[in-house]
Amino acid sequence: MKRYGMVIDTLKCIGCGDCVVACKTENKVPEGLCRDWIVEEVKGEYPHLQMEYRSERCNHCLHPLCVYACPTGASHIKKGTNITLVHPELCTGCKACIAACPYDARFVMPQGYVSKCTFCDHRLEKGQLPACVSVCPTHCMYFGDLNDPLSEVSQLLKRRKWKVLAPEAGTKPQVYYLT
Amino acid sequence: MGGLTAGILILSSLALLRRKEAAFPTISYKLPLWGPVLLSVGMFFLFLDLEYKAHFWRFYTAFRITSVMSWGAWILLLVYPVNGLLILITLEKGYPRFAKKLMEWIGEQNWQSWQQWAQKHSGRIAGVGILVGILLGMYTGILLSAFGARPFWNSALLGPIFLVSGVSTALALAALLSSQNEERKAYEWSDFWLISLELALLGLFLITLFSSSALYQQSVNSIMGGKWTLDFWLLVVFFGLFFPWLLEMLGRMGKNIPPAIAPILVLLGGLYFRYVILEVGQISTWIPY
Repeated sequence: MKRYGMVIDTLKCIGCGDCVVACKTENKVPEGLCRDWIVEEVKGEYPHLQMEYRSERCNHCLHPLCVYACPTGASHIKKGTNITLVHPELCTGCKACIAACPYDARFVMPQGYVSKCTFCDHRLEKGQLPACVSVCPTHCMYFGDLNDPLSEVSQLLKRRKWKVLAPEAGTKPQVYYLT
Repeated sequence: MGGLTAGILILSSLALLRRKEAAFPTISYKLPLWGPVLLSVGMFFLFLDLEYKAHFWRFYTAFRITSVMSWGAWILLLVYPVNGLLILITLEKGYPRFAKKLMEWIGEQNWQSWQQWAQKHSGRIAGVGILVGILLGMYTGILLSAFGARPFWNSALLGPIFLVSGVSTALALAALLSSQNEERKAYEWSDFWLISLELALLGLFLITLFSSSALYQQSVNSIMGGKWTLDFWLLVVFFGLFFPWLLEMLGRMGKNIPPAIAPILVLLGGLYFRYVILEVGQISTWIPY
């Protein structure tokens, strides 16, 4: 099984938003909606401040609460991977998955079905990287199979300090932030 | 509406099972007909809430064991036949003119054979009615509490609170429909104890959130000084629970209280309670941006 993961170096990210634009273009995400977004977090008290930019998206969790909450099977895990996808033709737009996601990564498309980041599954099938990773001008985004100990993402997580978002939620998210 | 229907199923089935029809004619004979009507109104609003309405039937092409909503969709389907059988047993005494029209439409022979079958198995039907009523009454609370991503909902007490609230509102409806003073007083007094239980459960619900981790403590902020404070404490707790509780107690003590006020407040309070819980839960989150 492939455990796809994204590793984002917060020390290199400048919050330019190219990943967001690339995603919207690649996946034809309608105006006003987005599958990924930039968070600017400032911590501490003046003058001892720390700022961090994060490109956030669906975490393709190993324990996907959204999939468990879906009453029709529209939200599912792609066979042989940890990629969480939505079948538009099975989705009723009940929004149970939206309520179940601790990362608020899902949204309703104008047609009525729920959508979210797919790690650009269609590009992976062609051997390409997700659109966001492929356009990042600072090369702060990495993508690969975390079950492969020799992959770039596995090596980065071995060498560097990292964090995931809301690990206490118990979802085992697969988007990692190098700090 | 689902909670109210659950309360109706539980109360009507209990009266039938314990042969208390003579003492509680409104619950026994009149309430069952209201069940499917109210549930259908509720389901209509659930349908309106679906973003992909043309796909509503997809709920019934799958049963997902991990999805509480999938359980709920199938439980909702169980309610109609069980409630229908209760109506078959009780309609002639509750709404004789409507029963006559229905009998003419269905055919007297069919009606009587179905009714005889239902009456023969009334004990079992009432037993199933109580079980389905409890499942339906707890369903929304369990659905919400299963969303770990919404700390305000993530409490095991929500199921029991929704169940007690549903039965309380059904008693309030019975009190409104009852034309006998003594019977109405009995409903109001029973409702007094249910509201007491609901207030206690609500208090425990808030205490458990307050005594939990920081995330859960923060989730209560919306009703403790935040945007929903007035709605929750004034409209839900005071006007929806405490004030009718007080009126029902004063009524029991012999004070002359207009009979419709407390039941109407309980019904409106029950509806608004659900609205506030839903709204507050949706804004409570793990990621505060």
